[in-house]
This record gives sequence, C-alpha cells and structure tokens, in this order.
Amino acid sequence: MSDGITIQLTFYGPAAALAGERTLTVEVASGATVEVLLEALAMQRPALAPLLPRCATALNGSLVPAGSLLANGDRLDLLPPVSGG
Amino acid sequence: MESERWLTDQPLLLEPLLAETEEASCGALVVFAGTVRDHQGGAAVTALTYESHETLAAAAIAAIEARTLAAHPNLRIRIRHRTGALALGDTAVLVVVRAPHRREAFAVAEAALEAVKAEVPIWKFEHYQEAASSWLDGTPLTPAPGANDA
Repeated sequence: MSDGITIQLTFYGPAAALAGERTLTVEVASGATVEVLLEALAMQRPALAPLLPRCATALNGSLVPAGSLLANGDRLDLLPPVSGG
Repeated sequence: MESERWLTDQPLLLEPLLAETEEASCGALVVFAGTVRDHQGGAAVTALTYESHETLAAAAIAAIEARTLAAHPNLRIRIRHRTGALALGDTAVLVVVRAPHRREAFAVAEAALEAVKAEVPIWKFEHYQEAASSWLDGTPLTPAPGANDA
C-alpha cells in the first residue's frame, strides 16, 4: 500500500491480555483517524472488539479524542477502563 | 517528569508525606490509605498486581494535586500510588490532606480519591484463590483536566 502509514500500538492492562501481545504495528490509509484505526483493529483482533469502545487513547504520549488524525510513525497507546485506587 | 514522585513499585511510606505537608495554619489532617483486601465480590483474593501507563498516570496524579491546590490554596495534599506486585494488606494508594478545618479536609481527600479512580491510567490484576487471575473491570478513563500539560 503506497499511501499507507504505519502506527505502533501499545496495549495496557486487560487490552494486552485480549490482544495477546503488548505491542502491534499496524498500517492504515493516510488520513486515517484514531477511530478508523480502532475499527480496523477490531476486525484484526476480534477478542479486543468489545473493549475498544471503552478505551481511551494516547497519541505520542498525550490523551486524544477518537477523531484525531494519525501520521506515519505515530505511537498510539490503548488505555482500557481504569481500576486504580 | 519524575514519575517516581507519584508512582512507585516500593512500599508507600506515610511519614515523609506527613513531614512534607506540615503547615501551622492547618488544624485538620486526613489520611486515606487504600489497602489490598482479601476478597472481591464473592472471590477470595490472594494478591494484586497494578500496571500503569507510567508517564500519563504520574501526570494525572500531578494534575489532581494541582487543581486541588488551585481550588483550595490553604490546603496541603499528597497523592501516591503503588504499582507492581502487592500482597494482602499492602497499601496501594495514599491520600494525605491537611486543611485549616476538618470538613474541607475530609471532602477534599474523598474527592481526590474518586478522581484517582476515574482519571489515572492504572489497572488492577487480581489473583484469586480458586479461580484464574483476572483484570478488574474498571471505569472508562476520564482525562484529567491539564493532564497532558503536566
């Protein structure tokens, strides 16, 4: 895919268990948003699908909304519902 | 940011927090310690492991402290959370609040703890006596105002 961009995903807490791995590199079309990536991820990793709508996302270390645009080489962290305290 | 200030995989110590927050104008001191209990629902718990997103968790705790101080300039507050493997009875979280009067100290300590539970990316993995270990279902993360700026 010539116009694809590569994103490095990191899964935290229960998301890592459901993904079956801690990190994953995915390719999405240029101009894709976080939301589009998560939709693709749900297809790739069906076990994660129910959790994804409840996950927050951090792009290159900062929390971002699902409509945020992705760029080649971005790091996206998936943060499932939290249970500290 | 030195995340160790807010998060540590070592036992949480209360004494330094009491010393750091000493303030002559404060007549109330509230300490909340969350400790590992031996059950969750009907299941016997034998231990816990906490995982964090270290930089964002530290930033979120720092943001909770900062906004508390902005709203209550006369108060002192420290919040610390443990990560890694914890045994039954170990302290998982400490909230120390000193305020001029008791009502403010109680209210602020409780609000700070509730904020920790909603805004800090930390996940609890419970180890059970008679079942497979599992992640606790949590609360969807509420971004702490200013957490990205801390």
